[in-house]
Amino acid sequence: MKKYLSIENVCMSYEGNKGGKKVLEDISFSVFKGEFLALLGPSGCGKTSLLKIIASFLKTERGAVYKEGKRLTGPGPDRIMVFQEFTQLFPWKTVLDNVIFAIRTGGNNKDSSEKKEIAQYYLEKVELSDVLDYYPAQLSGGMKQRAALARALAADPEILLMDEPFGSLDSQTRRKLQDLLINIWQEDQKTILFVTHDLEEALILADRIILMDKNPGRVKRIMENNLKRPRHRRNVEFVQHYETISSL
Amino acid sequence: MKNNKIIQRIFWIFLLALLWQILFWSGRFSTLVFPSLLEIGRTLIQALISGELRQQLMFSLSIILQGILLSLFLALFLSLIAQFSRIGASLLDTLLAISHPLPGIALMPLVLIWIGIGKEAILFIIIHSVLWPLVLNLRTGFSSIPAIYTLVGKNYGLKNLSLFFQIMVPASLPYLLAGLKIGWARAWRALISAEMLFGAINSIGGLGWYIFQKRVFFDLPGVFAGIILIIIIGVLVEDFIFSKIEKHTVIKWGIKL
Repeated sequence: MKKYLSIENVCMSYEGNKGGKKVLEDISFSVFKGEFLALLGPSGCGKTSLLKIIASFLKTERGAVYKEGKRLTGPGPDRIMVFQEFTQLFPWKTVLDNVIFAIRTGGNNKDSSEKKEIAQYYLEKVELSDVLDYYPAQLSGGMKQRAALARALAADPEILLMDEPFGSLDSQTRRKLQDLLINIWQEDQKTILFVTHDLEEALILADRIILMDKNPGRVKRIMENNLKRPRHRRNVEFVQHYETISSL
Repeated sequence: MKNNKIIQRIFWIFLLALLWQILFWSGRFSTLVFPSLLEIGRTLIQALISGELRQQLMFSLSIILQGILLSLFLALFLSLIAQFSRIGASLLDTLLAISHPLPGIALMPLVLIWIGIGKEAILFIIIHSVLWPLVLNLRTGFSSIPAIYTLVGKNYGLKNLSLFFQIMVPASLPYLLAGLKIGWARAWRALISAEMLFGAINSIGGLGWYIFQKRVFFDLPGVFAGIILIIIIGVLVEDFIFSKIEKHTVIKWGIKL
């Protein structure tokens, strides 16, 4: 597999009252095309900042991010971010219109019935066909995150940047959405960068896990996760992996 | 709950009307300065049917509507410029600081000299009353948009103008509506005063002028008929039109302030 996305020597600090606080220190790793990569670390390790740098929402102090050799300079629909916050859907648009929004600005000049069909296709994928005409305020947290996922998919990005999208959900809904995400990823073969602080989630989802440390945020270790799919949380190998990594 | 509120309101209005009528029956005041409710009601209905009051009402409403629409476009345009130009923003904020506290009525003598009397003069006063609260609220609204909306907008490829109209304007609608409410209240007051001052052209001078003219002829039922109509319009717009708009937008979206 060849390098697709590469993060090279990225440093970043936040301006504070007592000088800058170093958030990320010399982060380097690469991502392969079609890979499911998890960024795992405690809160405050800068994993969200790193994701925002890859999305070009934040600027680096040093270092840069390259996609297929080209330096990334601004946000774009090739890298769509899915946030943890339930407020990421536009409250003034229905679920369907939120998804159609992604298609319209995807750059293609599709007519409205075609767009609607595409949006319905993705909403069906995330099992939201019943609530097309609902407004986000009428949805549960899990439904909002599904809709956000559908919107991201509808933009047809090359890379999905997911910032603990299931972090605020109850564990049952969370597992359902993890399974759903794996299915979608296996069908669409998108590259996914998934930020989480939950080891179990990383083990269930990712091909590789980048373990991060805090103060300042840095890469501690990069691990292959070769567990066979479909993965089960009670499987002996899974538990062994879990124990090994959590003892690190 | 809401029905209860309406019933309470009707009850109080009925009680106040009854008090009025008792005062009238007591005969303590001359009927010339203290007309009976019945007479006021009769005058109101007659003036509406004969078209005399209706024409004045239409004049007032059309002028205020034009004023509000023009102000809305102007406010959007100015805050658009301020959003994308630092110099524009600093100029607009200064203009806002100067003009917002200035009551429209204070400008009337000047308007009389510069523009003269008539529709344009009233329109000017209305725009002055509506524009600044609208701009102020839009500026506040833009700066309180949750960052996530603009991030998502940019992520999906929106830039400048499309970001402004597709994300910033709808996201700040609660503030825009609040500004419109304040603007309406101020414009309605300014309108009535301006009409009294500027008088009529071809006997059509609006509700304010109608009241003023009735006073000249010492027609107090006429004066009260005009006042009651002003109250009714005010209540209808604030309690009915604005709450309808809110119900179908910001309340439905769950982003009411």
